[in-house]
Amino acid sequence: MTMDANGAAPLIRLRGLTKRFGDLTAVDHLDLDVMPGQVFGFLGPNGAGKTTTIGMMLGLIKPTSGSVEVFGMDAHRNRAEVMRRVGAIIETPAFYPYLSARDNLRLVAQYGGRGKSQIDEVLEVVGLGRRAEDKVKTYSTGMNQRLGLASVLLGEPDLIMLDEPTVGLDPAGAREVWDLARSMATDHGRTVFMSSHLLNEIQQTCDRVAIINRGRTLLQGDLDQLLTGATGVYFEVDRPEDAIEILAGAGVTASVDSTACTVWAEVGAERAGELNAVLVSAGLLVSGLGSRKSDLESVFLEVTQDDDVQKREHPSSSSELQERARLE
Amino acid sequence: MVGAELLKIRKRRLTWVVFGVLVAIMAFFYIPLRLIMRASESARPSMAGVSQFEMFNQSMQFPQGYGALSTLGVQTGQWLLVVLVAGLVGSEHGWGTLRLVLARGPSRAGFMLAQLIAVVVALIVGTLAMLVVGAIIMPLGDLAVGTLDPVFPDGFVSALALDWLRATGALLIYVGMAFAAAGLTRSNGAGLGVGLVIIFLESILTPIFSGLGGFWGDVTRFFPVNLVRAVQSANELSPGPFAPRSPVEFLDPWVAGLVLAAYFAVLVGGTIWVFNRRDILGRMS
Repeated sequence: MTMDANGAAPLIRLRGLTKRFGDLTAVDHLDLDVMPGQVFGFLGPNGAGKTTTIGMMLGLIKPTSGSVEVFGMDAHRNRAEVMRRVGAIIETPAFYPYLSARDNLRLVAQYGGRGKSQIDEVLEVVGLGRRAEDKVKTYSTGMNQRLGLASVLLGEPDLIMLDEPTVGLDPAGAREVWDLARSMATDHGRTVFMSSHLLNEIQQTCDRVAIINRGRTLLQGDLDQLLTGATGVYFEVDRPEDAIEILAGAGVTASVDSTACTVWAEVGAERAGELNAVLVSAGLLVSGLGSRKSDLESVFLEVTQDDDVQKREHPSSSSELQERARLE
Repeated sequence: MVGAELLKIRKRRLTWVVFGVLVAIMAFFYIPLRLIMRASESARPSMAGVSQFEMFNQSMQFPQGYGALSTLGVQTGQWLLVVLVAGLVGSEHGWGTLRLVLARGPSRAGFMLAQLIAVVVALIVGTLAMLVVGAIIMPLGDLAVGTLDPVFPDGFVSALALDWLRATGALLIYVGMAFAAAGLTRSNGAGLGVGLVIIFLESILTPIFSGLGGFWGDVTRFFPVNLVRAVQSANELSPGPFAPRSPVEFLDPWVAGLVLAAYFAVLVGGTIWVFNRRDILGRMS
């Protein structure tokens, strides 16, 4: 079994998880480890298989093959036991519009076999204390989403699963959700599994990230490591193609970016001065240079675009392509 | 979980609208209709010395009028019950609602059974409430037409209890129909449509099949509507003018009750079986 540096076993462990809907393989042999206390970002474009994966983890969708272990237990065989320790929302939750927020949370507590004593407390946490008696049909999408978060917090679950938790929220509301998710992990020791297609959301919130596309894991790792690994130095030069050759001669891999006048060298910032001297001595006019720690967006685009290119070159089936196009 | 389901039923406007409509229909038969019939009495010829109003009025008086209430309640209640159950169950099966509920960990069968039990409890409470409503509208009608003279014959309470039991039990088949239709189609509209179409088809096909006779005539005896009538044929209180007029020779009431129970079990069991195997999907990303 996988363990982290402290010898802890994964809280969530997916192995070979696969779901097929007819010809479409929505999730394809997915492997994933989520360690306790992490805020784990599950990132992928629309139609990548994120919600299907979460559905299988929650027992809402039956896997075609593979295993889902949560808290070291088979999540399907021990569903009731596992779910008692999980709080989850999937996309915008459909609360009962004719009931008040408080009544909706009463129902959630009853369905989950959880106490009702925390209802007022969690409503305050998400800022709905004053609207607790209002019917949910009078709520905005953002308030509905906040109520969803309140429902997740009921019963103090060990694992919180949030699927696209900031849909419908304004930037300030989204920020509060991110802070809440972080606080759940850092202040309360809970594990947060958060899926999103919003790169900023994941980068702001998560410790560890998995990027999936077409149902497969493309990349999985600690966010810091992923971003450090993608560090680069750029040079603004008059002859980019010549610069690439010169840098190659110095043993450095480089490429021209989309503006066609900036050359990116895959080296650390400490070599910027040395490579600048090489380019200048070769007669190139260097008008600017700098280093940048790559953001999650560039990592995401790199891995998903590579995958898309491969998929276009080797499609599984025409019906699969059509089905994915329909889903997306 | 049954408590949660009952809370939802209690808080839904549909529940009270349906109950209100049922009360209004019953009240119409027991008060305004009697007044109208009395007013037009002089214009109608009497039969064997007893006017049509008197015949009608005798079967609607308190407390004998409970016999008519039982039969009329089932005939009207079946339609309203399908509307109510389809509305309650169908709206619970949107993907968003199922995700909200099932992501909390209850078993699917438990969730479905809780829904069913809550609807049955609502049916029992509703039919008991109709007994109370009857105890109000019948004397009011008697007062309105000036014939208030309550006389409780021997064995009335036990007869009323048995009639109530038959009416409530018979109505369960419509709970089962609407539960299955709404649960399988995941739509209150489709559940309502299927339930009402079945009731409507029964009333159309019964005379046609009975006319054909033989095998087809026997088939009609197993239509839910005719099984319900068969069960109610054992009622001790007279249904008066609401006695079902059917060309069908009814099954024995006990046999009919058992067939209805089997139908109910198949409808509910099948729906839960399908629901247990269903992927809770919706839009996936």
